[in-house]
Amino acid sequence: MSYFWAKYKESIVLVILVLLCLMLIGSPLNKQANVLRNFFQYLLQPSQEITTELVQDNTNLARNISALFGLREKNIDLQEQVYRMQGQLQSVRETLSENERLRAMLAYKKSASRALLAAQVIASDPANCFTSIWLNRGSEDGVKVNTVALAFQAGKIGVAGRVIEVQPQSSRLLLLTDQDSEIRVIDQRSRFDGVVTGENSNSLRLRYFLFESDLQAGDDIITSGKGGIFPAGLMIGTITKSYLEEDKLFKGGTILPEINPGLIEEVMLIIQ
Amino acid sequence: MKTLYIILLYILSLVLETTVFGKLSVFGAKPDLVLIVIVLVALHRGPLPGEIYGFIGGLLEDFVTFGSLGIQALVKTLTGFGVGFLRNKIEEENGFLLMLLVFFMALISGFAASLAKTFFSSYVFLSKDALRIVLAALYTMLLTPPVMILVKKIFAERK
Repeated sequence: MSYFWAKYKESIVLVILVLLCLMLIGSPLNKQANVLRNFFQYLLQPSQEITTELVQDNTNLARNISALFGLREKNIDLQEQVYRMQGQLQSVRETLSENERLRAMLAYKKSASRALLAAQVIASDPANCFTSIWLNRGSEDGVKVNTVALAFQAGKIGVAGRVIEVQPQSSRLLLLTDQDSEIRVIDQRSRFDGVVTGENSNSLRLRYFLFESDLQAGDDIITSGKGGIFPAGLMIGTITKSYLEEDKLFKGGTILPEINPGLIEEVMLIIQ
Repeated sequence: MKTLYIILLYILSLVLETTVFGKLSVFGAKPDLVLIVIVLVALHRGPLPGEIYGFIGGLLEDFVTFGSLGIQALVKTLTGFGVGFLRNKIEEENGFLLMLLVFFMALISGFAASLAKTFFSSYVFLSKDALRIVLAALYTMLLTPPVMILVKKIFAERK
């Protein structure tokens, strides 16, 4: 027995581990995975928040490092002065940029009839930044599963996604670019309706528009409100290409999202 | 103690992957720091510790990844096992060779994870995913040296 173990221990352990993995994938535990994930996320959250803060404070770190090499030959005093000024300038730029986004969010919040809640992105999916993100707001703030999030970028407002997991102080947002995301939409110009799905990249796919639908590049796509989750009239993106699907029954197309989900830093949650 | 350090390294990797590299992603591609740790540990310790540490690292990654639980654990277990057989066959001091190994393992595990997701869930593999996996493998390869220094320190303390 000990000879058998000594000779085949790697293979025996491998078989046990692989079976364990397959059981995890196929077992009902997978449906309870959110509990485990939420617990692990709860443990990680403080370190993620600290790291995110540090990253935001040093957004232009790479630029600083490259500048460091270019200024080597210059006088040390001048270097320090330049650094101080660059640091201040970058800090001011970052503050201005943040200010601009927050002002847009505040202006929208004031004009919107819905109750809105600002939330900060604290982490993103390690596999792909177009699938899901973690926000620093949870059930204690009134966030629920299927709460809709809007994002603000360069003066534009667009749908970011919907909440799929909620913890007391954080929540996971399924981005509209995730492959599992499906949103009922309409073409704002022609009023034909269909569905938008994600492609795990910074583009979306239009599906299930009837073959006679009039879809043109440049048309704005907005939520239809028919799915029961997303309120009507929220901006999704602009059509870049439309075509007749192979089955000739439906029209499809590609959309450039109004906001780039990979670059979201804050969102506004529609809590009512 | 060493196991604790490796687990802490996994957690640090996951925190960095979900925060810093979320902002430094290239066309949605992020480096797989956990994979680097698994490759280096497996290469240093052999197939048995490689598959065990691979399983632990993969499972922790599953907890922060959106999708079926167990897929990353499966892929990383097999990665640790496979790389473990290269022990004593690849010079651990040869940084370039290690980077190449990490690149190929990141490529293989990236495609294997996508294949497993296609098989076990409603995930559909798109051509854009292939590009993202290749970019992520390159990104992972470039980050091998700093992780290598940390892993070496952990094992050096043991001696």
